[in-house]
Amino acid sequence: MAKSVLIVDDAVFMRMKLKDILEKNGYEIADEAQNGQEAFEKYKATNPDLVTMDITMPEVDGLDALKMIKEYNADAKVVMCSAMGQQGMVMDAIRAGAVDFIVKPFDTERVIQAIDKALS
Amino acid sequence: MADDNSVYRDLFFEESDDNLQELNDSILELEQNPDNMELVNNIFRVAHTLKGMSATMGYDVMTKLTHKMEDIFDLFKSGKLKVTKDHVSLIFKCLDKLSELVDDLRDEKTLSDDQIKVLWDELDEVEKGVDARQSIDEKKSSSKETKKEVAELNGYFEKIEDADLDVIKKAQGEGYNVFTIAIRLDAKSLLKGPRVFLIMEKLDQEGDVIHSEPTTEILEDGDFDTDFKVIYVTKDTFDEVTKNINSNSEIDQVIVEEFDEEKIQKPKVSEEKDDDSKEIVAKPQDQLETRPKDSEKKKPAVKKENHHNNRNQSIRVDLNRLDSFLDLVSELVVYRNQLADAGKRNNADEVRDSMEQVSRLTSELQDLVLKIRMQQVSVVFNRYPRMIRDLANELQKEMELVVIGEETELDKTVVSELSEPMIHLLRNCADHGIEKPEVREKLGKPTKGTITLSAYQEGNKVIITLEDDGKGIDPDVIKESAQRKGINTDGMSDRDLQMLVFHPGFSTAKKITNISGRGVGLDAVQAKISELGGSLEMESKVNVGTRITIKLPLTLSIIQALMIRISDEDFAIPLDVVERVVMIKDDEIIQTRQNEVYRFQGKLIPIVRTNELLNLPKTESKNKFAIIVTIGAQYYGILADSLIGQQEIVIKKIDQILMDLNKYQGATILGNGAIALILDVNAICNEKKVAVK
Amino acid sequence: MQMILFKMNRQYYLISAADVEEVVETIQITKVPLASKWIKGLINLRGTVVTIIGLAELLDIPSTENNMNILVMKNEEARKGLLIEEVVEVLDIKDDDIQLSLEQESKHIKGVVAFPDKIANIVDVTDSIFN
Repeated sequence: MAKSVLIVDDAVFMRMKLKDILEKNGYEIADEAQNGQEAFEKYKATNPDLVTMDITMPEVDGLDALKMIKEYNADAKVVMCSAMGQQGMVMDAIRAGAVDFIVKPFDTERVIQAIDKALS
Repeated sequence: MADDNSVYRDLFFEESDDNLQELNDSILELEQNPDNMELVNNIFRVAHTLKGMSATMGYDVMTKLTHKMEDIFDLFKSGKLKVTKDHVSLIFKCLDKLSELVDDLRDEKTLSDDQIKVLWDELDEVEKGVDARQSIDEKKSSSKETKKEVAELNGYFEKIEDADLDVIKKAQGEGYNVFTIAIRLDAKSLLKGPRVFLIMEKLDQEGDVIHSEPTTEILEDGDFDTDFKVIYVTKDTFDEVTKNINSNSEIDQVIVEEFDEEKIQKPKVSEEKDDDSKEIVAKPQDQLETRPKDSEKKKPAVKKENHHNNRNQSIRVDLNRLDSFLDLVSELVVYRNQLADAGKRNNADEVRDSMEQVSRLTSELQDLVLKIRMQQVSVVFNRYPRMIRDLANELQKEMELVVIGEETELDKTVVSELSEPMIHLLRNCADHGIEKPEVREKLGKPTKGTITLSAYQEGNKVIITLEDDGKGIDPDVIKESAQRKGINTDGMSDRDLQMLVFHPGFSTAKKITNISGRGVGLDAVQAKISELGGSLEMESKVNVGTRITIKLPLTLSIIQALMIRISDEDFAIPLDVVERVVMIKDDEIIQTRQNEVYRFQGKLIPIVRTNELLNLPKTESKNKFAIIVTIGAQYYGILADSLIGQQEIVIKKIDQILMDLNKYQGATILGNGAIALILDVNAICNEKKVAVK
Repeated sequence: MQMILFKMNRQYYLISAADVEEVVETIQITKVPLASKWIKGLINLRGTVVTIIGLAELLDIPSTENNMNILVMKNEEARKGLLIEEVVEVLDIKDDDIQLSLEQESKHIKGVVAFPDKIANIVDVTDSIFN
């Protein structure tokens, strides 16, 4: 069965892009969320195999969402999506239990490599 | 990138527009509250998103500029750069340029670096001024990229302390495995610091990294090329360690070896080469702190009530589809009316119930499609504070725009058509309304002028008012100017005189400024508002200020209308301007010197003989109906031969050539399939007024 | 190319079928007071309001009483109706069959086609009715 991924990003554009990459590589999209709070709700609702989590989002950011998800399920696999210049945030995310991170602009190969590895 | 991005283009443009607007708003706010860190963070976030999107689309020029702009925000964030007016202006220039780039991209033009060069240099200048070290750092990193020669990955260490060796020996004695691990990251790997950190975290879960080259600080700051080496103490086997490391992404090459004191020294022969790589790997300590640390936890971004932040649970719809949807529903309404007519005529009982249901559902559908088309006026209003700021600088005046009720909704078409006339009025306010600070001071007013733009809904109309506390419009000045231009001002009240500024070709500006004196007068504004089925009124007091009130219909497409007959033709009059309908006899129409009037509520009001106006044959009937309408706080009586009744009609567009006649605002299809023209009562009455005066 | 042959005032005309979206029977035309004389009025074409232009007035030839057909002309999204007397048939006309018009005075006549029993002027009004 295809593994399911919850995509979290505040930009529809980014969500579409990721969705496209993932679907073309045999993943199933559990759902999409556009902020941290929604991400947490949708995580609980869909229980995906993996979450791709944008770091900078309005209201509840990706880091807080990651913490909420990890608290709910310590085994949750969350891959952070960051941009250049967010070293500190990425480190915090790793400390909080993120399995990996991908850096925008997304390169299809890298995204898939990170997600394949996170789910293996 | 090989992906075909074309399908994302539209989305990219829409979101870019949104992001740029949000940046505009936030920067404007930041100028007022330079110390609001939440705001800065929010700005940073949005700029970031913009950069990420343009990079993903492969729009390099745009990415380059957003990147540079983001650097400036970063300096704001770290407090190294003060938010000054000059900096804000520079950022605004960036935003304008970015809008321009986005427009070019939309038109499928190819961008060139030349478009951003001047601006980029200017930004770079600011950045350099703040932190000279930083630019050195950048130069280094760019020179680093040019270096292509890559040494082979090796497991040699340079600085193993004796203490480390002791630890290793002890660990081995206690049954631990000790490995030397050399890792080379993907050359294209971004954020190397966190990448290493992640690898280390995973290793630390199963053992201890007792030594690394370069040092962990350098590694975590990402200040190395691609290679690093560690000594790792663990209970895990060779295979487990290899697997652990390979669970990380973006690793190009790994060498895991059992620790052997003899092997970790590099062979002498390769010394020269190694020195070379050492220079690249080990950087002077003082450059490590040039990038502000991002590690402080980011607070949730600023919560704004603005609509574009509330994208929850909404989707974007192609406007053309929405228009087709509306057309279809409009058509359905026409046929429903036809069916209802036919039903009544044929007295078909068995279909009556279903007919009622269809009728109800059609009405609901109609309401729904109109609601879907509603858009907040903020879409256009949001641009104005920035515009006023720029105007204030340009005119060397102090002023502020207060926007109230920007969440008020109007039909999408009305909203987009509203932008131009509002800009015109605002420019006029700023240019002619608000006085220079010194003048205001003399008058005992605050030096800063206030322009208030507000919108609210009243019944099926939206009222927009634009108020300033400027110098007002002096009727005497208008009168003099009008007479000079050969406009007859006899018998005009002050208010009539003031309204002359909306007369075609009238301009009060003594000299043409490049703000509002562009040859297109306020009459264009008046015309646009009429075209939208709205009305415009103005009140002005010398030295107190001016208030312009614009009333607009909520929707353009479906209205309540009064159907009338003139000669043998049917026409529709929008019901919202109709005050009442009276039956009048021919002898109740009084002929004055220039005009025909009728006594209504104790006042003499102008009469519009529609058959003459429209060049239709006169009918013989003695009794006529006067449709009393209010246009610009003035009553007019529009004559009709008979009344057909009130009904809901769908406004259909007619050819521009027919719109240019300035008598009709459209046409509608009646229940029997025939067409009736909708009279443009505003234009007709305004024409009457001009003719009268 | 496909052309529609039609009759007006005992004269024959041809118009490129590519410009014509459909041919409809004349239906009730609502007059528009004050509009120029070549605008005959408006029709309800399946829920859309379409302006009707009198070809006779446009060509400045005597108008006819009995106008039976309307040619619905399409140019991108815009539609306009051309009021004519009667459509005869659709013909395939070769470029070689078209002779240059002798009638220099009318800008709407682009050429002439001679048939054994009649001649027909080729009308092109797309530019003048849509711009």
